[in-house]
Amino acid sequence: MVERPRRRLLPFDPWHLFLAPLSLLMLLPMVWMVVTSLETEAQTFHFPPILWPGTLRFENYLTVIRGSAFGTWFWNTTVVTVAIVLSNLVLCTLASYAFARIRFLGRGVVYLLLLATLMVPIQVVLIPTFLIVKELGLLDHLGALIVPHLASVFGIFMLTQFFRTLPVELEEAARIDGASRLSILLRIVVPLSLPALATLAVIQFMWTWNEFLWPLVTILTNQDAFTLQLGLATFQGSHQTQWHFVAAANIMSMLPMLILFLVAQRYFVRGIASQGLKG
Amino acid sequence: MDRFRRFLVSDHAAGWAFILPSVVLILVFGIAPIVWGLILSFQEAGLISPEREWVGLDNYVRIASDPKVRQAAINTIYYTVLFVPTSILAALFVAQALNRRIAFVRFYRLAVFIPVVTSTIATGIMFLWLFDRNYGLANWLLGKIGLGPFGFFEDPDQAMIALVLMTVWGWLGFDTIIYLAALQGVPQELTEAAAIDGAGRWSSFWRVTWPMLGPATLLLVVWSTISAIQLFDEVFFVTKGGPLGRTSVVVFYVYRLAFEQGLGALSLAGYAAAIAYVLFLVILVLTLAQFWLGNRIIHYPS
Amino acid sequence: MAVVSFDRVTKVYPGPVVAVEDLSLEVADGELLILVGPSGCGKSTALRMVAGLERISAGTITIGDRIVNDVPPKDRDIAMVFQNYALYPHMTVEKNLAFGLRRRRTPRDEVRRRVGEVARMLGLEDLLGRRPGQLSGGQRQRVAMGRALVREPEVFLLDEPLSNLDAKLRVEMRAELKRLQDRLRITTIYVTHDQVEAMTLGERIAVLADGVLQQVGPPQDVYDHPRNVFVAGFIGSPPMNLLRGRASGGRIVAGDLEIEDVHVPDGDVLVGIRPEDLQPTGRDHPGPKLDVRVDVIEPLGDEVLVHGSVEASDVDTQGGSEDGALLAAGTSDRGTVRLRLPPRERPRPGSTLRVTMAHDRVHVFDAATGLAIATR
Repeated sequence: MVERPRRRLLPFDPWHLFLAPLSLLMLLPMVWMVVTSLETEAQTFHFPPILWPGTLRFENYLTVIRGSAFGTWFWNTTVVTVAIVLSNLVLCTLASYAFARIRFLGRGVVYLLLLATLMVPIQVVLIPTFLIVKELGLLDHLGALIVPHLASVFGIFMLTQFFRTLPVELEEAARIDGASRLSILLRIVVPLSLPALATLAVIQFMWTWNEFLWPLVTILTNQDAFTLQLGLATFQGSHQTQWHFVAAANIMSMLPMLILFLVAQRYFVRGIASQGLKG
Repeated sequence: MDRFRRFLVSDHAAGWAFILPSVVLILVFGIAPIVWGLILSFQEAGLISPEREWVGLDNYVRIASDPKVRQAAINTIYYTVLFVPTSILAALFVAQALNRRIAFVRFYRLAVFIPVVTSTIATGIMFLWLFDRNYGLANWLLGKIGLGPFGFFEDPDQAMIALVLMTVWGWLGFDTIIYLAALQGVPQELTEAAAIDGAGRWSSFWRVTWPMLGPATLLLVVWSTISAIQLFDEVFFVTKGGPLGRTSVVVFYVYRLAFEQGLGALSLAGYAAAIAYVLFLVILVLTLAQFWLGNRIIHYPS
Repeated sequence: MAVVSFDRVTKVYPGPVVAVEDLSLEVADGELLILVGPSGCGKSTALRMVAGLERISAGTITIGDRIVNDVPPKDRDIAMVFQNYALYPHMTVEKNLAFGLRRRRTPRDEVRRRVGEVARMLGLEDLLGRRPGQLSGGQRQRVAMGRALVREPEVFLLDEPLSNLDAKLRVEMRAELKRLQDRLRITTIYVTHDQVEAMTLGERIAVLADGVLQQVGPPQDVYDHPRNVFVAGFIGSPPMNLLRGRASGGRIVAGDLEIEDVHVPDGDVLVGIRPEDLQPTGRDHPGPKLDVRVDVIEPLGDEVLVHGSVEASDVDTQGGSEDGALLAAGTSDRGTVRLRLPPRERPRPGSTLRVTMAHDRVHVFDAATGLAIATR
């Protein structure tokens, strides 16, 4: 930024006048949720809204956990997400390394084919994928959520781009030393790629944790296989006027993602910014 | 035998071994559905029952005369036209504001980015509560400056706009990150040279910085358009297509056909698939047009 | 009347990091002054303060007859050539050149006239329709210069404009810059880390180190009479030989070297002799002499550079000195010395050369402060 000499009308940079209210606006929905989750039912129906409930009813959270299948939903989502993230890390790393560094027959064609699938919008594949999952007998189970996502094209694309930026001399030196492809991948490439892998993990985590449409479509009757988003939606439907409970459920469902974000901000931002570079 | 052994340790074998699990999975769950979807669109099919009947282009013809499809298309266009420019311009302004070395900028950035990680359902719940007609915070605050009360999601005329506000809130962080990265990629020397050359703030932004944001803008336009056209979660959860069908967008209608009505006795999966494919075509054409237009006016840094 | 003066100018960054300390300097109207020094010495910061791209922490900068501390860059009537040229990549060469004039609402035909003139002067006429991405490094450099010249500014600022060019191009552009300066006579401040550029281009050079002005004057003066050890070691390539010694009773002893009849106060000193001032001599030469054991010879075509060692302790000041003071000297008692010989003389490595020097070519510096001590 060019430092321009200016007469100071205010004791601070004028942009604060825009950024501060904006930040408030962005955080308001969540803050308001927290406040609501600590109120009594009667307090939620107060208009004008009560901004500070006085006593904080943390019991609301316990009521939600005990009174619904929240624990199951949370567990299911965790299992599904961890499975998918781990699987992606392994499978996408293997595949991307091959696409980036190994010359094999059909490499170009297969890569293009995979990329082409990125262009196809979800509603086109929704119904047929449903049918395939049904044929495989995975419907109504967590398997329906996990198996189709074990490898993601986005992950392959991202890692392939990244691997290509690593200096190839390191790997060539290892080959001359007699290392196998796999050990080059594990001992040299992966240690150098930790930031990219972290980024993939974090982005994949977020998508899987927040996914709604696919669980909605594949988990039909088996309430034990509900994910958090599905459960949350149902909960809101059945407790429509009990906003204090709904808010508590909502906050609990957001917490893991919020914590992950605060801890791994850098990777989220990097993941998203890199999409801009891919252009 | 020797040739086989050589093959086994060759690059070809290694390459295929590495990609095989992923390729198989993507073939089954990514590529096969694309093909099957096309086939389905030429059939009358149910989701649960195994019957399939070939009806050729009947499904596609039906699309043209279905008033619900027309309504869904109009709603989708309305949403897209509102959402895309709003979210992009907002993000440009915010990114520009965040691209400064001022106090608390880390906090401001955090506040703007955080909504990115909230799910559509979580966001939906937050805004259902905020926009509640009788007890929501929004109407209370607006009342203080003399506006409202608004029906938001419950008002047929306002529901779509409320959806736009909610989704812009959710996507602002994403778009801003992209613009911020692009802004930081503009060499400082360029804006300095412009300052020396006599360009004021506005001139400098418009004539020097903005042209360099071309690729980022194109990406955001394409990305936002595609996600706007595919809007589903928020409609399903928050407005359920209403009130009075005013927010029923195309993907929502497809879902309804296939998974609500289609699970019953009616075999509408094929029809739904046909609509999906037409939508795909629309998206494809639109995206190509945007890229073509974009490449003609954007200057790419070499 | 575009005189640029720095009056006790200081720039402090949060840290605190003092980039420029108490700089006072005046650039005469039409003069080309060169700010030279190693990386991080503050020269670019000083230039940017004149341009208005950095706020001034203390002191004042005057352009012409006004203090410009709070004047925005566009109102200072200056033009700048950046190290990386900073050409607008999405505009043609013509638009790049015209940008500044257009911003000031110069009438169209005036713009066309000036752009044409500058294009002619710099040989850019055929390139007007191209974009910077399609130009070579040298062409881009000329466009950057053209963009600055077309504004007909009071002051011309150049920030290492030649450092991104290859060696041959650099030599050509140096000559061209000199020609332009002679013809146009615009007050110019030129920043470089290359002391060859400084010596050849500047009417006066100002040597900076760690934000402090070390010496200012015509290049030959600075070369012949460096005011301190830093300047002595920085200006001149290969650098001046510096040996530790001790002065007592009008006589200096530095290892094997003994110099008589020097009127300096007693104490630890540094003796400086430029490579070209060391002359090989016979065994019985009466004046100061030193035996150099030849290590490496570098035949350069027009001369031969000899690297050797002597029985004396040497000193290296180029490692980022704080105040021209000394770094730890070499650990052995033998120091490195360089000298120049005519092109056909090739002493064998390992052989010993006896050299002498003219009395008035010897520089003496105080070992503690680094300042030059007059020898008369």
